[in-house]
Amino acid sequence: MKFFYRYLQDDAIPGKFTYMPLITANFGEYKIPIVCLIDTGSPVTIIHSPLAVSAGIIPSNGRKSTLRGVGGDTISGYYNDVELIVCGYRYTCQAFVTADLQTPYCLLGQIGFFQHFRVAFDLPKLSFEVTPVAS
Amino acid sequence: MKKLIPIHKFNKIGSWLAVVVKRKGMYVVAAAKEPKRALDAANRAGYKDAALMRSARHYAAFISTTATP
Repeated sequence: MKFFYRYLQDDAIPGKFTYMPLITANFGEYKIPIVCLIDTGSPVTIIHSPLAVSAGIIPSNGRKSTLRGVGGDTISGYYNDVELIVCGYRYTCQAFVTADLQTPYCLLGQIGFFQHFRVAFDLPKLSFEVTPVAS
Repeated sequence: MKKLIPIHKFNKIGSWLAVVVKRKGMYVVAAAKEPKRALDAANRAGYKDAALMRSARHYAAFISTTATP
């Protein structure tokens, strides 16, 4: 499925704007729609805990763990089994649910997203293609 | 229809936003302290394809800009 990069203005970056690979995914028991950033640098899929609670997931039922970001800060959270629907493809994966995520979007990382999808980025054409991997 | 606010103009932190995509840009249709309320408000306003995200001071730069080179 083909998606388009989202145009975002931001005074903090050179050029004052950028394009980001953002998609909408549905997750949890209530299948709530969330904006997710396709993040090749993230080892796992990371979800804001208030969103997880709204989707019917109890974060503290999962396995407690920590993650370290590019700035060196450590965030704590829980690994939970969550159901995700991306591009109409439904699957269950382990996601890191945390209240400390500093990005406004949830992150689709290597475990939980890139295991299940092949992604071809094409920024010059402002598009990217997400294809489910046949398993 | 409710007036759409471009995402970069919503710099108040601590809110949950229901956003829609239009012409490759993102627009805020509802904001609330709880994600479910923001989504319900967006659905009531007629935006059935709204999705949730957190509000932030910056939507593109995530790495701390406090460090000086």
